[in-house]
Amino acid sequence: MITDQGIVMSPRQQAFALIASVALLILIIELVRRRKLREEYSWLWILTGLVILVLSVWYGALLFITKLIGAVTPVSTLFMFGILFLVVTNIYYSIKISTLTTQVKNLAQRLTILDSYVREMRNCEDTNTKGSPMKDKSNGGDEVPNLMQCRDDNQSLKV
Amino acid sequence: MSRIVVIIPAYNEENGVAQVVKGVRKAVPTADIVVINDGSQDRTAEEARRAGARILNHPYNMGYGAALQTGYKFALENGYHYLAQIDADGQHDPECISDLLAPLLDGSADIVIGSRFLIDNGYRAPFAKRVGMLMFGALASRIVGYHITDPTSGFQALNRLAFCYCAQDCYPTDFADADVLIMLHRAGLRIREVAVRMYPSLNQRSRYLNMYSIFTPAYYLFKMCLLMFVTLLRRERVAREVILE
Repeated sequence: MITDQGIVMSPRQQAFALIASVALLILIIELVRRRKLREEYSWLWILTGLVILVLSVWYGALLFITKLIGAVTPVSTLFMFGILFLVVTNIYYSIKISTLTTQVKNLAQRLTILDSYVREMRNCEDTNTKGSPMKDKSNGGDEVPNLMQCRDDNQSLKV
Repeated sequence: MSRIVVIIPAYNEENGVAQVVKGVRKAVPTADIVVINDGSQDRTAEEARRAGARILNHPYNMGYGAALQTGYKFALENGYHYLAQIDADGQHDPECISDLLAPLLDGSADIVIGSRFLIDNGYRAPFAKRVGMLMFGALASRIVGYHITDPTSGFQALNRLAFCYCAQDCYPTDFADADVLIMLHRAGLRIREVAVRMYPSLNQRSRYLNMYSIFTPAYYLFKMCLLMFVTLLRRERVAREVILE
């Protein structure tokens, strides 16, 4: 709708934006309530919902921002912020994924080393109790040589 | 007496790993041998175990750098003083391990790289690899202040200070290249190269150790430029400080 103030949001557009933002907020809160979404990830989405809500009811603010950034129409302001938001969320998730990748790598390495200690201890126990080398069932029953010679001082078994 | 461990990262190397383990056992009888089985789908772990190595099994394939780092962490926890790393595909001559360890034992270096280019031993790398090594080797040499001929060599020996530092999160999980040498140099570690013999890989299908066959040259170029640039932008913490924590 074009008036002497420029392009204005029609009541229908305003209602749609209002419904969309409220629906987004309800969805996020419901996901947090059901523990499907962790609180630490929800803040960005709640912020988005609130911004859309504020801009849809307070049209003056949208006009002000449009003027501030030098955009031609309020719609392009909305699009620009929408894209900016998507870029920011993607970077945020990339950082999270990088952190998670490092954490998973460290966990897997820890697991690898602990697993070797467990195998070694089982071998030691088996050698001590039965007096014969253990058959390692997880590897198709191959004989496992006792390489660390079941050290009594447990120097190599700092678990 | 100094405790030495030789780590062998292996991924689908059932044909070559046993021979390498036996070679290492013969060359350095006092060293413990650890094969890091990086999620192989074949009988790598069994073959290495039969040959007399201790096995560290990764739960899934994590990459060459991550496999080396598991070895560093293991060495760190078990109180080893020196560590040598050798590829499982038979490219490296285990007899050269003692040459690699010598500068560590006399205290003149923290990291020793086995270079195939210090002497002419007939090794000819593929073209893309040669260009990459020349370019980034030259760049790394300029930054660290001495000549590095073989920055991609996986045949290395490290003292406790060096492998403690490499056990930190700053170590890459794919391939350690010239950027890692720059990082280690900036952390105050002394790097030296010694001449070693290298053979063509026993496993012709090996895609684990040959980064140039995984990455296209363009991607490798991009990755290395970016890595070297950001490595220079970072403030590396001095290795000794990291270890003291």
